[in-house]
Amino acid sequence: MKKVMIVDDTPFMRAVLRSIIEPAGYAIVEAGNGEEAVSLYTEEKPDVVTMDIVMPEVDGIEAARIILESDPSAKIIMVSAVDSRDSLKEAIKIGVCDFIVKPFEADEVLEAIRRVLPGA
Amino acid sequence: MRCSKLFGGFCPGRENMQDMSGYRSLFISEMRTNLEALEDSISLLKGNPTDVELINEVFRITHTIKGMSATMGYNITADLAHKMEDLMSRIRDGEMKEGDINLLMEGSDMLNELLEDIVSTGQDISVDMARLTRKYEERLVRRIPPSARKRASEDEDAKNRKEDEKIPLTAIKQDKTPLSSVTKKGWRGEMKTYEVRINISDKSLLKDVRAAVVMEKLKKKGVVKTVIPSAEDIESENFDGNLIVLLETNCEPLQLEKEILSVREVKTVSVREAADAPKREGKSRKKRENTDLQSVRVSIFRLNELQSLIEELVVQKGRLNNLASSMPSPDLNDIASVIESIVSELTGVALELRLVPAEYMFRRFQRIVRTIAREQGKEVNLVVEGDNIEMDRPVLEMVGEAIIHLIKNSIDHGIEPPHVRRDAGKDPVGHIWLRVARERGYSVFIVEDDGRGIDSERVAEIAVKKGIITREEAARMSEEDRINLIFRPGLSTTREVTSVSGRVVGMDVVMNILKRIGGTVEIETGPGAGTVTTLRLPFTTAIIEALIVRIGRERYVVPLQAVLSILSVYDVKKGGLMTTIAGEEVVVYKEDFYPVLDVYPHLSSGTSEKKLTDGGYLLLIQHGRAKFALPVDNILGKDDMVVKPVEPLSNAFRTFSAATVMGDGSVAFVLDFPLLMKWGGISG
Repeated sequence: MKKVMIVDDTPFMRAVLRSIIEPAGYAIVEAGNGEEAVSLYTEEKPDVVTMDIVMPEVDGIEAARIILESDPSAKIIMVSAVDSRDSLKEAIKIGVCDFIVKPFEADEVLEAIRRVLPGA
Repeated sequence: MRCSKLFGGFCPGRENMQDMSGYRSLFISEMRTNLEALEDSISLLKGNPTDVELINEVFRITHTIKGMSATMGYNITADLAHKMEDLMSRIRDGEMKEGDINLLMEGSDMLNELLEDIVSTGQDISVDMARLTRKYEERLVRRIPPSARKRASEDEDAKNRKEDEKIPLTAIKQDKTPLSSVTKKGWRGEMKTYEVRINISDKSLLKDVRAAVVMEKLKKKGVVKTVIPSAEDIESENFDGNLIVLLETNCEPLQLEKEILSVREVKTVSVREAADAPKREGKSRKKRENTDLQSVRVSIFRLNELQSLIEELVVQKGRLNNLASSMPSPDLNDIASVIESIVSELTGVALELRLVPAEYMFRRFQRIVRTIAREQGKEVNLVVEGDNIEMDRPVLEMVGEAIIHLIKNSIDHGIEPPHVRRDAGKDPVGHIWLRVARERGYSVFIVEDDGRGIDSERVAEIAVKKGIITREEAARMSEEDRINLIFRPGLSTTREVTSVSGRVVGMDVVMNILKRIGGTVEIETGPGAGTVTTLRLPFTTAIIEALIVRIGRERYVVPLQAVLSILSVYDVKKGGLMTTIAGEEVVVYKEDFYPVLDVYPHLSSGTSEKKLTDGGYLLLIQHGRAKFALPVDNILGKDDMVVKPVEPLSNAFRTFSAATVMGDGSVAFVLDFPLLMKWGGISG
């Protein structure tokens, strides 16, 4: 079973994402902030990461950067609000695979995950 | 006899020794291809004047044109191409000066005119070249520093001699050599430049960010040479989701396509070898198309043939349905319904075949704008939006003429001379926007300019002066009606030879054609406020989905695309949707007002009263901006119909502009909305 790590500082957003992703047949790991995301990534080696951008202390971009430095093949999907254009562009330059704009639809999330998985 | 000196020893077959006319159509089509590539490259060069690849590309194309034209004996064309080539070789040596790009553009425009001359008269002698030739000559003499002149001209002469000797070979024979080697090397992974066109779905919320994802993907695959629109334009929010990227890569096109399509929200991708790819010559494009197994070229005549066969089939299918419904045979009914669905699918596929990007028609517009603007000493920038949208070719061809008229009108009467604009605090460069869109069942073309707008008073005045309307009529007319006078025959500049088609077509004629196929025209303007003209045409002219209705004893056909809703009179009355405003019956539906047209006496042949019986229906119809309710006695069915314009020759048919053949072989008229609205007293 493929594993998805959901990174978001809002429990609600994590719950929403989990309720979309889990029933589609993925194992879920949750991280509540950037720092946790970085350490959990090395422990759990998830296949895909959904990453919130705006988080206290280590934000999503920074976390993505650290993860990608240690594992350039990491598959990270940024989850952001419509007004985070510039942050998103920065994230894309760093090497994240895709982005989803809030409010998102379930299909969008699942399609994004399916597309970044190798062999998809 | 059209053999030139340069033609040399090359003979395309003994019997053709003295006559190149057999090659004329090939020449013309290759020239078109090259001229398009030239135009594209020059405009790219304008943005990147130091791009060596582009400079080489323009040089190469002018060289190819020179060779081809000389081979055909079109020496005036060859001479101009030669001068352009000379200029390019100066530019290649780092001598690019201000005005060069304009000179190249003028040259390119002139080559187009020469080609049109060749197409229509068989010779390239009726175009006035003197002014441009002088410009080039002054330019090419003056630009050489005296000290370098001798050496440069010797080099040049030597080079020209060498190249001239080769011309017939270069133009015709040598193409094969570089061609096969390019292709083969390509397979071994040689670097090639591709033009990648990407369309990002309209559903994408952050198109610019999505574009960034695509760009990252491309950067991993090769070297990005050019991006259109520019990074700044993508940043700004008016990025419409269309990207053109020149990418140098050793990836295979199909692989590249697949990669980009793997990005979410990318709707379409096309990858083709770029116009400035190294070693590309006119013919390599053709070869490439041949090797592309995904598509084939089909002559438009074949497509038209297919279309008329399908139209015939649609008519026969109608007969079959009629027969089936009158016979109690389940088998026959089965067959009829299977055939029904096959025919409707076939119709769709055939329509798809005829679709071409609007660009196909709009390419030449830039040139037309430049030519007309230059003639009038104005500066005009044409911005085309949505030209990748696919449209039915016959519709495009019809609308093309109309748009040329509109653009020409904008430059002639709308856009002010630069000093006037500057004084008015406007950008001295005038703008014309041409926007293309598809709406439910319609193609929409919007021509907008930021000129002085139309003064309705003045239009009315001229119309009175020319005896088109009386002073009293003018006084009674609404603002809108006065402006619409510009579509009346004989008002002003309408009867001119368009420099493009060379045909004499008046604005009134063009507009009549549009109206006859169910199109509408709307103008929004005001003194100083620019002019926006919106043309709305049925998406296809060939086959429409239509409602068959009964009014009195007559059957009529109503294009389904115009019908917003169908309400039963019973429901309308019961639901209290009917009200009376200023003595007129009006249906109020979803917060819109639909005046009920009192056209019964005109359509019912005999019955004189408008009948809103409970068994009847009201069709809520939108035509252009006008909305109205049309009462009918019954709805007989819905079908695909082949609609043909009725030529207004016979008096009997004068009231209807189009007709169709019904399943039982009888003819039914297509309801003509402008006419209904006139009868019903509603203005368009």
